[in-house]
Amino acid sequence: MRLVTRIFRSWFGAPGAELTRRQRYAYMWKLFITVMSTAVIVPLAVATTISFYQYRSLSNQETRDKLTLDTQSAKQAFEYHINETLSTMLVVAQGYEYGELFEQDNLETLFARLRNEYWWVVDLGALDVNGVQKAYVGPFPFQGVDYSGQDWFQNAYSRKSNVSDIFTGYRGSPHFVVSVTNGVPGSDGYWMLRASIDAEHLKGFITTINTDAATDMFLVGQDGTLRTRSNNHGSVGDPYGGPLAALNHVTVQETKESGSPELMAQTQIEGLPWILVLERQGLVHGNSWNQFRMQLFGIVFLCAAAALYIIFRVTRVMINMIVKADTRRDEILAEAQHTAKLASVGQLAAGVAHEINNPLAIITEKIGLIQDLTKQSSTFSEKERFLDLTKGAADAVERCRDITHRLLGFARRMDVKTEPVRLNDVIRDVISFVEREAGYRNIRIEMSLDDEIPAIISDRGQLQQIFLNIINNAIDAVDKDGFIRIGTTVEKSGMVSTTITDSGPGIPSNIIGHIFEPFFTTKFRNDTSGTGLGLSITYGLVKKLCGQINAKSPPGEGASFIVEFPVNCDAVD
Amino acid sequence: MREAKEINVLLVDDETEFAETLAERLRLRAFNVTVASRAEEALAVLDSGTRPDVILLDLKMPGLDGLDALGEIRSRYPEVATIMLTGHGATETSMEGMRKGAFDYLLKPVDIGDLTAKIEQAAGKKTGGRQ
Repeated sequence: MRLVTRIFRSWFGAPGAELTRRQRYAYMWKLFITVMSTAVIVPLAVATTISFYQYRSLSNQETRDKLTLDTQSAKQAFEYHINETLSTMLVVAQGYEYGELFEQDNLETLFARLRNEYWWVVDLGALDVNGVQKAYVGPFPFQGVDYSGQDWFQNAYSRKSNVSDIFTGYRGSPHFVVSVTNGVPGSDGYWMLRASIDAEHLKGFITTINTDAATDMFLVGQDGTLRTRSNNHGSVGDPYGGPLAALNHVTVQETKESGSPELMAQTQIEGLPWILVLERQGLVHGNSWNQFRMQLFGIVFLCAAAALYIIFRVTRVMINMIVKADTRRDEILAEAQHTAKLASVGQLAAGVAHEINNPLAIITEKIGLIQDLTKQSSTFSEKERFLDLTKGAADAVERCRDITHRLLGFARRMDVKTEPVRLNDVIRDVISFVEREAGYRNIRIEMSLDDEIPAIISDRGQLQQIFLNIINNAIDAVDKDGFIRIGTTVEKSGMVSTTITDSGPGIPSNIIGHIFEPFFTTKFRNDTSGTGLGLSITYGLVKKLCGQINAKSPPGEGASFIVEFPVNCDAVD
Repeated sequence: MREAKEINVLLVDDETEFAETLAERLRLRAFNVTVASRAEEALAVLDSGTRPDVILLDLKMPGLDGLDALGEIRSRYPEVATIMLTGHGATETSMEGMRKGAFDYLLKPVDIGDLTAKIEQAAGKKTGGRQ
């Protein structure tokens, strides 16, 4: 638990810690990765594990079923071969009278017919009641041999038919004897017909059964030794070594004899002294299973890798979107704060202008009355001088009135209202507002306004904001003793263009591409002067009025701002 | 200058210093001027039967606002011409006044020449209307 906590803290950081924005993004990234990976990998692992064990269980069961079926089939095939041979011999033998089979010709004819059907019969002999082979057809010199002392003869003597165990006998090679009898044992009319079959041929019976190379099929005698050669346990006569269950039905069990798990099926062959054994490497332990396992884990690994790759990519895209959204939100917030500040300044300006206007009106009227009364006086000796002085005072009040009217005009710029606007008039208004400041700094303002430019449908207040900010920036850039040139014209595209050029130090080429980005202008220019609008807000206002703004700054030639507006902009709101 | 023009003016403005000075200047120019410092007072003057030719009405006043007073005057005494005086400079307010039937509007501080010309125009229009 402590280890998990330590890993959690090293991955996510200590809980409750104050995070910087960058750390918060890193935390979100880790959280997304962890949650999404867990959501994908855990179900994948669970599904894979369940599939793995279910498939293994099914495969095991299928292997057991197939082994059972194969064993059953092998048993039936084996019994079929032996019983067929016995049946044929019985039928044939019953077709002969006593003594006829002791004649060599008859026996040869019978052997030929028998071999024709059952090629695995090695020889054929006819024995009398004493166990003496009266006639014999086969490769060995066994004519007249006495079998009365042989175990197989004693077992078969009193039975209608019999199949012996495998033994070497006179010929010295493993074989077994299939025999049928006729007549009453001990009487003169009794005889026995015997056929021998090489033990090797038993293997022939078995190999005709359709089994795969992974299956070892062999016979084991009641004494626990092999009756046929086994791939895993040796040759005929070698001890089998494994557990034996002499049951007529098929039993299947799992062993680990050769070090690797195997399935073993056994069954007693009915009427014969042998147990049929099939051993097979189970599918779940064989190459097929290993191949399946490799494929399964390979696919799962690839799926997990692909899922993790997609999760990483998606997470990165999501975090980038969040970062962009946060940045945009900050920009909007800053813009809103700026706008609110401007609105406050506007309200303040409107209030000041209104409050000043009333006293100005009183002063104007008082001066006017003084002038009226002075003009009516015929005795006042300083009349002309007095009138001249009051005129000076009236002019000063008139200037104040212009200023308050202009202040009121700018205070109203927050209202959005489109109307036909002559850019030249807007520029003149703005210039009248800044020319005193420019004059103090000995900055010459040169205007080259094209009187032919058409009126544009736009917002006068916002246009004033735009040009006031650019011109204020230009004044700040020139600082003192320079010029600002303002020109208007109509472009071929129909856009009304205004170019404002200053004789300031210009804008370095490496940052000119970024000056309209939020907060960037402060790096090279103090844009908090004048109205306080930054170039980014100016850019936003220009865009809002469907216009475009560009900056140029050839080395040593100051900076130029080119602002273009369409004659009509339906999108202005 | 003192020749009587027989034009009666009702000047309504809460800035009494401004109103009294302007009234005196107008009287010097032979206008008959009555001063009211509130819109309610102006309406009382009208209700008493006095009928000025022109009313000079300040828009921003305590109590009944200039625009509301204008509405009252235009509805009750449509024959009286009203010129709005405003120090606020809000074009929308002035335009609203024009829509309510004001003869014209002037921004404070006003030029006395412009003002007298407007008063005479307003009084003449009214006179013409009567004829």
